[in-house]
Amino acid sequence: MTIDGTATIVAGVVITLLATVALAFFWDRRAVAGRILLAVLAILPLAATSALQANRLTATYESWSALFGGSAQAASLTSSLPPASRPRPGGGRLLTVTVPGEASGLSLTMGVYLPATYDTPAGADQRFPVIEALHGYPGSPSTWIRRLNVVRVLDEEIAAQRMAPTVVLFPYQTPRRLLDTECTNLTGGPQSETFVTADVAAYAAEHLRVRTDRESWGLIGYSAGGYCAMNLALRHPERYAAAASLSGDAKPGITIGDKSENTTNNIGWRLQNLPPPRIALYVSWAADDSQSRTGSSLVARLARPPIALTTAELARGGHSHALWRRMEAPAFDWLSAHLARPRTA
Amino acid sequence: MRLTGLPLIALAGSGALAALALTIRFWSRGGRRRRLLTRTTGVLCVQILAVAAVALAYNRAQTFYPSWSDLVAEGSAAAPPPPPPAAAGPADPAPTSLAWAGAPVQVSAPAGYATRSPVRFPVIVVLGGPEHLPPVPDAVVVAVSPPAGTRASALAPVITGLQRRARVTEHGWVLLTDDRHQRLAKQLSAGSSFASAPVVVTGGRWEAALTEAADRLPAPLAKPVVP
Repeated sequence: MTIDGTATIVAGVVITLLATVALAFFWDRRAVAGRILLAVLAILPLAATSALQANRLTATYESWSALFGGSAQAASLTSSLPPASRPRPGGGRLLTVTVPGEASGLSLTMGVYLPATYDTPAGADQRFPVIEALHGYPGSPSTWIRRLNVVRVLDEEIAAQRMAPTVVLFPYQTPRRLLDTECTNLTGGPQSETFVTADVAAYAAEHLRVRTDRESWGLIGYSAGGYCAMNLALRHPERYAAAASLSGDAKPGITIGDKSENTTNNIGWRLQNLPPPRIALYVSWAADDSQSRTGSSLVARLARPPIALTTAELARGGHSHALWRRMEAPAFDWLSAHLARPRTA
Repeated sequence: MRLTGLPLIALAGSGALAALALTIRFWSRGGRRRRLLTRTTGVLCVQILAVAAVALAYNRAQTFYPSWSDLVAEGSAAAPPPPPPAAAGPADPAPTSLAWAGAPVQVSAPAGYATRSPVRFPVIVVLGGPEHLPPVPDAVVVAVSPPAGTRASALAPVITGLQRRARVTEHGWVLLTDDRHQRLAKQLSAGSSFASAPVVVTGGRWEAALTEAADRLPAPLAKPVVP
């Protein structure tokens, strides 16, 4: 039974029902201690089923071992995928790798999408552009793969020539699933920014046939990952030429430890106080999601040349995976049009 | 009733409390069978309404699903993919020159341009280059030597004319210039079509400069999906 299967939720509901009937049935035959036990037995499966459903929506823990193993070391991001999320014949491949983060000290799992061309004779002497796809909080690389069906989307956009063949990387942004790093270097905590920027790039340069110049590196993210994408591109224009944000905020909403959430890690502050770099930004949000609308439109209002800004406001959709499934193909197309092409050696 | 409205949350919350009160009130009424029924139903109602109240309040705070239709959309399958562009239509060759009052404008299309519709190509603009430039793979090259004193605004019709008459991208262009046209190049590259600062080519290294410029261009692509 998988952690995010419908059967698991159904089983949880059935157990809750049975426990409730047991509570009603055995109440009169038990003393105080027994009745407390019955009540706890009725509440526990209810709480567990609610938590499982919340996890199912966010794909924070993609397997039981990820939940009980304790670390962000998924054995495989590609096992037991639902049909809509699986790689198909003629499409790209999905790998699970471990990035030994020498600069950050973090060693984390990363998903790697290799376009179909990567494995063809024509692609053998090519180096590909790279997009790093960042997840929200709570979330994981599996959210992209399982909830946003990103493999199918990339296959379709590349096959339709709306996107160049591109290597897409899905790194974890935190060593602990429920620790929100917002891709920053937390004082006294995980150095997520260093991992997502320096360590991931070093791994890709060593192990994958990718271009390493900034013109061919881009970022994309939804929710907290959208903030990450914009913030990291603004902070590291020497590494990234373009970034796309789906429902991202202008500030991290966490305490980083050095007060930089109010200054250098606050996009609004940065755009008002520091010279803008030469990058391209794609900022998209749903008008009925007030927090993202406020943050994203602030970024849109403050972005000045040489930042090349594109905005996309959707009327409806909230802050949901259904919205991001509508947004991701246009954002990937836009990114590809703003990144350098595959390079033939 | 709105999904994120306070009335619905209040309804669920007060419903849970009322169900709890009623369940306690009737907990020990009736015979065994009736007790089993009222207790089970009562506790289930409390559970469902309490979970609903918490979920609704959290959804209101985070605006995950602002409306009922957003909630329904979450469960549904992803929208069908936009169709791939139609198979290549009739050959659609690029112009070889553009009319401009200032000087002759040469357009050089890459191999395969005519048959790759609807794919659009990025552009390398060359100011003051030699008369004959080699074609560049997967890019359209536009070469012109504007007379001294030409302003960027005077060259605007060349850019709009190219966008109208050839399948070129709207942005991601690169500008190469000789040292005489540096000022003009700087003005021009402030336009939205250009992704980077102009490259000044010295010592007649035009071929190498074209190769380097092409390496920085995006791939030829079909029109993006619009959200």
